[in-house]
Amino acid sequence: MSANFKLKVEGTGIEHGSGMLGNEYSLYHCAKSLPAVSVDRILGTVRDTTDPGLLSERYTFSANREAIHRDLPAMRIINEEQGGLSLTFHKWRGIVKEIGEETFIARTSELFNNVPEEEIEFFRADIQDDDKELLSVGAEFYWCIGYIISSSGQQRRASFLRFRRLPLFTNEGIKIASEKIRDIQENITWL
Amino acid sequence: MSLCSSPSSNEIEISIFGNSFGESILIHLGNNEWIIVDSFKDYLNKRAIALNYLDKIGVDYGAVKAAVATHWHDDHICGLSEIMIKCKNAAFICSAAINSKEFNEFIFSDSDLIEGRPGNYELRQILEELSKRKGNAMYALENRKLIDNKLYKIYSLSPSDYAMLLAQKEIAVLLPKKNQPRKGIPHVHPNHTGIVLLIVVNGQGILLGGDLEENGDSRTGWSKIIDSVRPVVKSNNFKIPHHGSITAHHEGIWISLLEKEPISFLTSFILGSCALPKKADMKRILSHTNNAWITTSPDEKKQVKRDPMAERTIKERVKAIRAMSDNGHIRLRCPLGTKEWKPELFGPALSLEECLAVK
Repeated sequence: MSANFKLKVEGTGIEHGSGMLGNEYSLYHCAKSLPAVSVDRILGTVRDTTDPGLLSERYTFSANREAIHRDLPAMRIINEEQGGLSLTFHKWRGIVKEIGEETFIARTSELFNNVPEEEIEFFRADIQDDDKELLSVGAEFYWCIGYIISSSGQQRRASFLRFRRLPLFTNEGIKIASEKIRDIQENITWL
Repeated sequence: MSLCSSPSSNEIEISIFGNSFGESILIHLGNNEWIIVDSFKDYLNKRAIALNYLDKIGVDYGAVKAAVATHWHDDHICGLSEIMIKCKNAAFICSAAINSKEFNEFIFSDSDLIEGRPGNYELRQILEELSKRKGNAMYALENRKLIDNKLYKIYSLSPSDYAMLLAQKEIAVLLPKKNQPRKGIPHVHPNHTGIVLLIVVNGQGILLGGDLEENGDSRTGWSKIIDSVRPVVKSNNFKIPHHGSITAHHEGIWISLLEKEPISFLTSFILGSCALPKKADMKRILSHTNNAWITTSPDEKKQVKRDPMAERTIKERVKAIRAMSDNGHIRLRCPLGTKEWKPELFGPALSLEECLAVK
C-alpha cells in the first residue's frame, strides 16, 4: 500500500500516526464513545473533542486497511481516495457452532466490554462474497458495529462481518509438531 | 452458611458450577484434599470458575490433587490449563483418547494457538505445563483405579475399549495433512470417549456421569458400564450426564449404579434451538429422585444491555442473540461418616422441581 493517511487527536496539539498504510503506528485515541471523537474533512483525521480519557495503544493497519486490535475499538479507513473512516464501538470474536439454510449460530465474546459470552444467530446473506467459502463449523470471525463517516462528515451505522483466514498445515510444521510432542512426552510420567 | 466458608477437614463437599455454556465440579474429599473435574471461565475475570471459588473460601491451590478433563468439548475444558498451571500438586487425568500420538500431533500442529479453538489451546497448554514440571498424568479407561489412598478411591468407568477403537478411527481422520486448513478439534458423536468417574469417600459413592451418551450398543456408553465388572458401590450422589439429555439416559443407571432417591445434580446447556434438559428430561429425572438440583434454568433468556446505537444495529443485523446465564452454584456438604447431605444454592441455581414448574 502506498497511500498516506493521517490520524491525530486534536485539542492536544499533537498529531499521532501519520504514515503509510500497511505499517504499524502508535496513536492516541479516545476509545469510549462516539461523541468524544469526530472526523475532520481531511482524510483520516480523528479529532478528539474531549481531553480526558485518552488511551495509548498500538493498532496494526493491515493491507486491507483494517485496524485490528483486540482490546480497543478498531478504526478503518474506508477509502483513502474519497476520505472517510469507520469507527467501531462494539467488536465480537465468534466461533461458528451450527449452520442452517439461511442463518448460522455462533458463540461470541465481545472484545471491548466485560460482558458474558453470547450466542448470536447471524444471517448467511450478511457474509461477504469472498468470505462465504470460509463458513464452516469451528470457523472464527470478527463482527464489528459502529459508524461509517464520510469525508463530508455524514455518518451512518454500519456492521462488518469478516472471517479469519487460518494458515494451512505445512510439512515442516507437521514435522516440528511431531518432534515437539516427543520432547514433551519424554518429561511427562504417565502412571 | 456463607458462600465464603470453607468445609472442615472432616467434611465432604461437592460444588457444581454451570452457566448454560459451561460446567465445572469441585470436590473436597476430606483432609483438605480437592479434585477438579472439568472447567469453564468466569466472564468477569476470565479465570477458571473453580479457582475463583477456592480463592473465595481461602483454600491454597496446593490442596488440589487432581484435575480431570472428562472430554474436550468447549463447555468442559475452558480454563483447565490455568488450573494445571496454578495447582502444582495436581495430576492430570484425561481420556485415553487424548493421549494418542495422532491426537497430540493434531493439537501441536496448530501452532497459531487462539482461544477460539479451546480444545486445542487448553490441551496443548496442559501438556506443556506437565512437561515443564515433569508432572504426572493418568489416562482413564473402563474400570481403572486412578487414585487409591486411605481417605478415598477414584475409579474411571469409561471409556470402554471399543469406544477407544472408534475414537482412534475418528481421530486418524483428523491427522494434519499438508495444505489443509487448521481447525479446532471436532466433536466425536456420540460422545463415547468421555470419562465417567466413581469416587468412593469413606464408603460413600459419588458418580460423575460426564457427558457419556448411550445408543444401545453393549460395547459402549452406559450399557457397557452397567454390564461390566466394576467396583461394588452404589452411589448416593449423581452428576447427571449430558445435561439430562435422553441421549445419555439408561434406566440401568438408576437400578444398578445408584442408591434409591440419590442426590442428583446437573447443569443446563443451550445451543441454538437446543436447550437441555427438556421438560420431558426433567420429568424423567424427577420420576427417579426428588433430590435433584440444576445450576441454571435452560429457559433463562439473558440479554446484555448496550447503548442505543448498538441495540438498533444488533436488532437489524441478527436473527437472535442471548447471553450466557449467570453462574449457578450447587454446594453439597456432608460430615465424613454420615449421609447428612446439606444442599446450598447460589446464584440462579434451583431445584429441578422448581425449574420444571416454571417451564
